[in-house]
Amino acid sequence: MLRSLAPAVVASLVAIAVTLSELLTTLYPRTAFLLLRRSRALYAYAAAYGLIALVVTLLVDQLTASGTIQLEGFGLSSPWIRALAIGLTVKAFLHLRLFNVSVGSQSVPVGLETLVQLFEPALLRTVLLDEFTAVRAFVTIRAREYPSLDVVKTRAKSEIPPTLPSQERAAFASDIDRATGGVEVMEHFLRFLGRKNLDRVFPAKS
Amino acid sequence: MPVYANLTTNLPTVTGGAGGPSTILVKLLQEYDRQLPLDFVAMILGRTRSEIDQDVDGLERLGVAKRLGHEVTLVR
Repeated sequence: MLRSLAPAVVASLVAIAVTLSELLTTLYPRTAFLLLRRSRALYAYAAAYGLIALVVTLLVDQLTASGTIQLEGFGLSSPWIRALAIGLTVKAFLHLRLFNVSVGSQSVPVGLETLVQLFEPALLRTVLLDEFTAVRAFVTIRAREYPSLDVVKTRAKSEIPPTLPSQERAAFASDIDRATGGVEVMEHFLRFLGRKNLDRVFPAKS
Repeated sequence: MPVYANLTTNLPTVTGGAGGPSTILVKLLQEYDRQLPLDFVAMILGRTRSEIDQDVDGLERLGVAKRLGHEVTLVR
């Protein structure tokens, strides 16, 4: 029992790591440090894929052992390689859709992705709100130490790295110009340039 | 939902690490590396067409993007 459970646990851990790193590096690359501390939904999201990988691995192992299915390919006869492959690919595999059914303006995917739709949209929305709350709380404390909006805007615009593409620099400067408060400027700054730059340009005074 | 030929509507990663609405729009145009229908941009970014129009106006004034009918592209 333990022998068949161990590869499934490995698959689960790999799936959790892949899911976490994919989400954080694509959507929250500069604010991941806040999410990792404060978002239960983030861990629930990763755990959901971990659980699916665990079940899939146990199922595949059982079907392979009983001879119902036969897996062919480099190293797939080893339960450890199979577990690794399932952990790495389960998330992408679950996003397969056969077709979409449109109801009004809503489009519902039909296929393996239907299963994902049961939990993913709600959890991703919660993660997004957790990130917003965490970022706002983090920069609000800092913004209180810099009460002059003009000073904050001037300092933020003067510290945009000149090595970034000119189009991005111009667009970011425009976003700073349109911001209506110090908190908003610092939120843009944190999301675009990260915590190290925020600490450098707007160091905590207390 | 409108269908846009040759354009993938997979969730883009451009909103990650973007500073604000204009920066997000520029990163989207960089990622696709082609002119994009304004309605498509609005759909992808989950914003209204008039919000996107405002951002495009701002980027046009900066010389970063230009409008081509109902499409937008980066200025090279």
